[in-house]
Amino acid sequence: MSTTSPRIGRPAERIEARIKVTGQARYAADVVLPGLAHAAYVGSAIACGRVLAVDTARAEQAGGVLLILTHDNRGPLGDLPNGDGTGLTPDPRPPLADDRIDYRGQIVAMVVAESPEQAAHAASLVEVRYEPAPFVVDIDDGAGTRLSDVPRRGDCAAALRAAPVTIDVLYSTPIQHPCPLEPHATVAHWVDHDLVVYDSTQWVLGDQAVLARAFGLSNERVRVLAPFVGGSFGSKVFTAAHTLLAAVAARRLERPVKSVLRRSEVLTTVGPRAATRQRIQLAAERDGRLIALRHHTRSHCATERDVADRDPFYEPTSGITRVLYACPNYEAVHDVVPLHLAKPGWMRAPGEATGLWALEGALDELACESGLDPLALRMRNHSSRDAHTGKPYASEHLRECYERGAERFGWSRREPRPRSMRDGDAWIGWGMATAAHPGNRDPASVRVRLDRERGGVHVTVATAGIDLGTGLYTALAVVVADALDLPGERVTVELGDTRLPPAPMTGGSNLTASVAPAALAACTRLRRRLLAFRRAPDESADWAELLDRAGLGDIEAIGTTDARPPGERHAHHSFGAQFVEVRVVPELGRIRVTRVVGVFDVGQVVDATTTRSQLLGGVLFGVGQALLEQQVHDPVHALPVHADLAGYLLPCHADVPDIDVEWLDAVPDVTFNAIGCRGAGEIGITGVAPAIASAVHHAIGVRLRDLPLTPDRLLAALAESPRE
Amino acid sequence: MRPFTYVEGISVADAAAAVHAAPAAMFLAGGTAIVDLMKLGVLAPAALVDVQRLPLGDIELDDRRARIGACVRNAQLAEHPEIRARWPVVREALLSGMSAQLRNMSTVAGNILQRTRCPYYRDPHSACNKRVPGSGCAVQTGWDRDAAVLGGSPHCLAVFPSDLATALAILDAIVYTRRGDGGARRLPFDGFHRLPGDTPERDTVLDHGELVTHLELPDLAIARRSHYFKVRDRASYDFALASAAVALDLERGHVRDARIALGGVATRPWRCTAAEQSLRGKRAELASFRAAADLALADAVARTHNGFKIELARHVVVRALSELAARPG
Amino acid sequence: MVRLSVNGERHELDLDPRTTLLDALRDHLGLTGTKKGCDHGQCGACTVHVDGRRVLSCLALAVAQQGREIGTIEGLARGDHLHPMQLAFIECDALQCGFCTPGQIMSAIAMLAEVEHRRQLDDVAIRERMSGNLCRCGAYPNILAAIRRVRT
Repeated sequence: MSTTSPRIGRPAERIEARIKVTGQARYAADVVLPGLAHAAYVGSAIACGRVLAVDTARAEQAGGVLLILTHDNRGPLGDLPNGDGTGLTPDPRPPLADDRIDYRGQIVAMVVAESPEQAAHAASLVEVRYEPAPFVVDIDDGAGTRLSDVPRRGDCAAALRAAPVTIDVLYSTPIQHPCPLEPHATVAHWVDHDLVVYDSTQWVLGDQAVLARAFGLSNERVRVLAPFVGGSFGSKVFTAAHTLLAAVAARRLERPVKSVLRRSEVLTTVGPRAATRQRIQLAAERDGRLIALRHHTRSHCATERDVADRDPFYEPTSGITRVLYACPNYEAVHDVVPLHLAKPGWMRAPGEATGLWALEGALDELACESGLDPLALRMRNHSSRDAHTGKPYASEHLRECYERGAERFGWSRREPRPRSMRDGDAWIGWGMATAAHPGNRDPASVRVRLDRERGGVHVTVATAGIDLGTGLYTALAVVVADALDLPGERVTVELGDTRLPPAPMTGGSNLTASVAPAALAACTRLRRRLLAFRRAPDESADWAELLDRAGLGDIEAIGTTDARPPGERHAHHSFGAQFVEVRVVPELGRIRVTRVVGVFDVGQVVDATTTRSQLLGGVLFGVGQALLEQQVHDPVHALPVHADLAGYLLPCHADVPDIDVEWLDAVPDVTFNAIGCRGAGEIGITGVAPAIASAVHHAIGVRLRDLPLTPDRLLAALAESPRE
Repeated sequence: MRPFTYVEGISVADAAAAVHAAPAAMFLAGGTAIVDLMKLGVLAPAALVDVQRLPLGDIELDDRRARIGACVRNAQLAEHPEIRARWPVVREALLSGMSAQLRNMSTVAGNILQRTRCPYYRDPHSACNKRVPGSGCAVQTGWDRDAAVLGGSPHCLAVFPSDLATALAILDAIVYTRRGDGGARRLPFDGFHRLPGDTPERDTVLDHGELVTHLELPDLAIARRSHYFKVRDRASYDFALASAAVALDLERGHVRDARIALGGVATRPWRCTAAEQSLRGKRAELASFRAAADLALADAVARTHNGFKIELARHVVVRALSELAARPG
Repeated sequence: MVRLSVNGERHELDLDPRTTLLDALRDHLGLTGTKKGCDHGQCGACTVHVDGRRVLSCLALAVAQQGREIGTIEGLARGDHLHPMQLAFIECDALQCGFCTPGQIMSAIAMLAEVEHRRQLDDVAIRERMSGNLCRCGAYPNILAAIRRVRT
């Protein structure tokens, strides 16, 4: 593809950049409608128990209050469509369904008022009486339930007993939050008994399905729009309580209602990445070849009821550990621990970002134990097929990633001994890890329409898929401009509207791989139809001229991507190699990442500009995961301690290292889709945290196995370390 | 936010009298602390008296002192070339705290009067004696990683967060006020912030309706060699896990005089006079600094998760003194 | 009545004293380019200029801003001519989701105005001075590149 296409894989300008830098991009909370009313919420002050009474008398007296909804007066809502794949809610119960409290912050009342100031103040006047019950908010205090699905191959126990080298280590990850900068927001508006919703979502069709079911409407009568979404990272897949309640209130009031979560509500009610405790047992030959890998994960889920209903959320840590390395014996067991917290959800690279933290860390320990270079150990255990199913990868270039990454980083100059590099007061360490993310693709359709206009044609590309900042607008423009050989300014892209051709949720790095080939297919159809009007087969294609000859003012075609057939012969996976340099000042507990090199195989890159940005962003997400981000809950009072952005620390400008990201060129995964592209949205994060921890070990000889690597943890580890 | 009336102060006396007369009135300056806390429901004034346009926005300097208006913006103070030359610790402390935007908004008086970041204080549902006297102190049984190791009481362990105040603690600063009844006070900075004891709701000795009008920094030879060093979780835009403001008067490799204060670890700006005393006459070298640091933290009390602050603060003191001693001049 | 001067235009608004400058801009003047990311001064998305200096509009009460000149992202371009910082952000792809972008741009412009000798601003200094503007997408390296481009 890249050899024949002038645009694909080259850097384009992000096509929506201009309206974003001028403040003209309209996000959900920017929607202004006549008569707009504003919502605020009352969150539960207890973590478990019952609401005995909600006294709204004082709140109702406050200025501007229009409506207060509680479980007593919320009114009926239909069953929500969880489990059938059409839409998702964080809780199978609709919001304000009953008096039961499952976590602190759970919405117990909604206040709607003329202004946001009035709504917020009235919400503070709602008095709630509770009957508290005992609760558990710390994964280490909770009892686990074993999930029944235990993927295994070979005989792990026997291999672990017999192996010459074994590693048995515990790694942990805290609750971390996707925490997009745009708070979750909905504007709901009823127009002639039909519902129009502007939402901050990853999935307009999922919203539509949930809302249609909740209000007993046909899907066509619910329109959801999300042309711009201010980041998501997994947190806007579910149709949340505030979205449903906005629609309830708007119908009740016969006015549009805006419902924007406060940052503290985002951090306490929107599902985070589950906490994990992971035990990795490795058995290896003396040369480093893996004989056995056992991966035991505990991760937290929501209530016991989810477990009883056999639908607990679990952080899928073993998805990657079972496939990545050649290893004849493998077993993964998973326990879920119900806690009184908001139900966890997916966060950028769910499973990979957590599972690789444990596995890659353990491999670094194996390398040290065996006296092997960490990179050589990965090479030795490289697998050119899915190690679990045995299916060969259709396109796999991990060794090249290792080699090029090592070269760009200068890995060969690494002295293996810890505490071997120093600059002033800082110890310098180098670490590396494998990055990996599966290739995902889902059914999608895209409409491409050519309009005859003065001086030529204009193309409009449309699909319900959503650009979360991920670059889909640009990728589609590139594909279509390339396929129709038109200048970019003749292409408009429309996204994020249920009235447009259906597309899957943006998730699992799937969207470009799903809709870009569909756009290409639509262009192929258009070309074929218009080229029939050529006078000679070698006549150059002038679309305006051909439209005129056909007597058409416009023409459109829909292209589709099909579901992946069962029994595919090949596996599709993205890989990468990440190398990190840290500087550690032990006595100050200070770890700074100074340099990151990543080389990735993500198949054919569609647009170099936005792909690079995605990979850079992934790396920084990994830096945050490694050094800063955690949500802690006071085990006695259930207080979410890090419920704002001064507590839940995202990396800031000053935390940013020099980052060098690169991808392999001309490695299209051509049996995956017609373009050969896989996603690049998540892989960038996956190897960063373990590479950082390995670099810290290399710097100072101290092994840190609990994220994040904060000063208190480093100081505690040093105090226990025999070195000092 | 509870509804409130907004009044623009006409004069210092008038503003102080207005707040003094209304128990639920408060002063508004930069707003960065008060608006935040009003949104949380932690503060709920019925009236705000805006003092931003009062003539309190100037920095006046002569040989003997700096007179800093209460409404001088923190950015303005940090950028002042003479402050930088004569009291470098002030500039360094200011630049290590907040963001540029917050420094542009917030005032010097607001800075030293800012409230704790203790999560239980900021959560209206939690027990907190500082917010609601007599309600208890949830930190005592709760999450204490960021709690104070110095100056705490069974009623409060809230860390006082101001970097600027930590710097002022070593500079013999004086706080000037105008009282609501028309009187005026001159308050040495040393006694300005209170230990929590059993009345943690009062951070300072100010009375209701008492308006800070300006701060004075006396000219101090030792302040010319002063330094602020801060450790935080994030590389910037973050509160201190531990910090130190230090000043050294050196003569031929020996310490003639020293000043040390700790931030991020105590319930008020924490001057370490015993540690300062220990340095006098000693060689300006690592061993002396370590001994001083041990003395500075001698009374520290660790709880479940905040013990690291003691060790960290020791290293911060050593680091701050070492960097300062290595400076030319 | 609260009198606000925004992007050179005077407005008289009937505002609740509780209304922040941010909400006045967004809800009363329709200037929604300024974003609310945290509403507590912890993210920088609401950065605007007041008398030329960058401030957080979420912590500024609108009623206290009378007589000051307020500048927002909507006031940067002159017709179709974008501000050099806006152009640099496009050229360097210094944005992804775009939500923090107006705040980053307003902050960056004011930041350059704060220093006398722009060329002395190295990467470390720019990063430190921009640390009050969080970006969850991780566009930081490209934001730095954009600022460098305008600096010289």
